[in-house]
Amino acid sequence: MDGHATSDDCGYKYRRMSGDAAASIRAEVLGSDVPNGYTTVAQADRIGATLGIRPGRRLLDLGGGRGWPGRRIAERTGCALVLADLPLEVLRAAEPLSAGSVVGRVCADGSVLPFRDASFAAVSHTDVLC
Amino acid sequence: MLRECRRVLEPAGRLAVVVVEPASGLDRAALAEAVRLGPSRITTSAPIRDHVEAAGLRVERLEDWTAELRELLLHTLESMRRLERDLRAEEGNDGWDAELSRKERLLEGVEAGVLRRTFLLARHGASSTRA
Ligand SMILES: C[S@@+](CC[C@H](N)C(=O)[O-])C[C@H]1O[C@@H](n2cnc3c(N)ncnc32)[C@H](O)[C@@H]1O
Repeated sequence: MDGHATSDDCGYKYRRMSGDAAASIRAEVLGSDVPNGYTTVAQADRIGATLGIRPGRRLLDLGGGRGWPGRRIAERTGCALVLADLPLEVLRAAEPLSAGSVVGRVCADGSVLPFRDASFAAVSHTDVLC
Repeated sequence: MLRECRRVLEPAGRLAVVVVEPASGLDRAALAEAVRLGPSRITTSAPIRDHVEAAGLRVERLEDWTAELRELLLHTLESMRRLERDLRAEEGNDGWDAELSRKERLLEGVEAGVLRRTFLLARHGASSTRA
């Protein structure tokens, strides 16, 4: 596809709108302060339902940022979540939020994933190109 | 990125993609509008479903989530204006201006019919079914 981001420009986006007022708007509008895109809680649930992932199976949330929608899907389905994103600071921010539901956090570029072939039952990819 | 998604998926695995993209059937001028108003890395070469199919995945479901995006942007802009003082303090005046205009442009693009939000579900496999 056309766009390609660097760790720098993604990290910059997280420094934007990272304060308390911004988080309260996300919580009010999306139903959670974890998302960094336009995916609501109801939509995260729809994504989880259509992926049909079962407890214990592995979900890769690519460009999952602070853990959205992967964290919600893992909490609802009991699947094992691996969160992959570029900036380290974003993955660090995901830790306290996602304790318990995140099995792995991996700093990786989506165009060269450090995973074996056929190692995930599902992949989610929401607002990664923005 | 989509090829890598396919590679790491199990043979029966599924991929969910949600993306803001140009609406379908735009002429050149409207496509330029979509680029001006849309996300900075908007994909203009082809609809997301074509990219997903080109990566060797079979599209099972395609939903238009544009109406929800419009509602969400209206709600966000209203909340941002209500919390303007706090947000200016957190983001700085330039940050506030940039964020507000980013959201306003997106809404303008949705309302002008040049941007859409697409949810797509695909399965590992090469052949295609039109949704
Ligand atoms: C707008 S945020 C959306 C985050 C999350 N999926 C959500 O819905 O809240 C886009 C995310 O994609 C990540 N990203 C962009 N390009 C990427 C790439 N090539 N590889 C991995 N992550 C990427 C960014 O770092 C950022 O966290």
